[in-house]
Amino acid sequence: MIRAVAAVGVVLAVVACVPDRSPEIVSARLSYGGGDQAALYFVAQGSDDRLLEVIVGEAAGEFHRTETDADGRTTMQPLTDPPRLTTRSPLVFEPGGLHVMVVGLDPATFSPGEVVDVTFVWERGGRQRLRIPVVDPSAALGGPDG
Amino acid sequence: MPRRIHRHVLAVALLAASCAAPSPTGRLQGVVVEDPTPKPSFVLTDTSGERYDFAAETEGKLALLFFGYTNCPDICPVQLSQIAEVLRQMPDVAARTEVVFVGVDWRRDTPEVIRAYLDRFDSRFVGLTGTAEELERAQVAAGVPPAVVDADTGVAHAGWVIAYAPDGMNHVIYPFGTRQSTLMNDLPVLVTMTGEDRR
Repeated sequence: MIRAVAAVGVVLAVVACVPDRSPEIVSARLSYGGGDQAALYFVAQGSDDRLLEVIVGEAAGEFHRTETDADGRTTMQPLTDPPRLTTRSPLVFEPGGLHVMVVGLDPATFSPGEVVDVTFVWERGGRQRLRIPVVDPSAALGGPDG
Repeated sequence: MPRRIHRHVLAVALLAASCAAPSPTGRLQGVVVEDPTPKPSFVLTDTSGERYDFAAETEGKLALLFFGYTNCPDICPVQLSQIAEVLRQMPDVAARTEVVFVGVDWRRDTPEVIRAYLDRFDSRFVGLTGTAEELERAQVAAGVPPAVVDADTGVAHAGWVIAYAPDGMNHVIYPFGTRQSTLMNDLPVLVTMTGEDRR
């Protein structure tokens, strides 16, 4: 877990290609526990924009929101509109809430502790490519104790 | 809505509102169940294809029961990996603990799929499956709302972990968002709750 948390701190500094108008990604992590799927969490801020697409490696992500019904069941619901952020309201993707569900990953190319290319496609800000840490799901909640 | 489920939902909300820093107090820090309920009785099929009697197989152990599904990228892997990580750090507790995952998506969660899924977290985790009817009976017995498995809307399931101490009672639950430090505090406490002190 410590290794994964350290990776979060280190890798966010590695910005490959960020247009000037793109929102700032202040934290991000890809929670991956094996298999062909993962969940991407991040916080974007500092712009008025809409997120049109996220591509992780070669796989397109789907925008989902985890919701809880009156009886306490949780379920994932796909978003019908692109998620929006404003200069006053950051866009927060977090465990148990908004997240990017990524399917079709090649397990041979993913492992916690590594980094992965993620491309954010913004309506106004264009394409923004970042190197994002892959963390074990035990570290997905963030912070010192997962 | 059943009264017990009401309590769970309320408890989740209360936990979410709580920001108390965990510390090794020796007292339970999860969501404590006011009136502990007995371990449910149900029989499902394990990943070897054998019938698994939950109450009998976990007797005298701490049992952590979770109803999820293998195609779940958000809630389930976080809950399972948190438990796995904590038990890795506490081998003495792990030896007295049975983690039981019930795959509620009867369409896809075959014994083979569940085994491969759980092995990503800890190969000691027990995986169970069954028919739709068996799975519903198990969930009702455990006091959780039965999962809704729908081709269009996906799977809706209870996202909390139910802990049954060795005394066979559910003293505490762990909603999604529970921190590892809470589990680190609670699991050593729970494994000592054998009921001997009340006899």
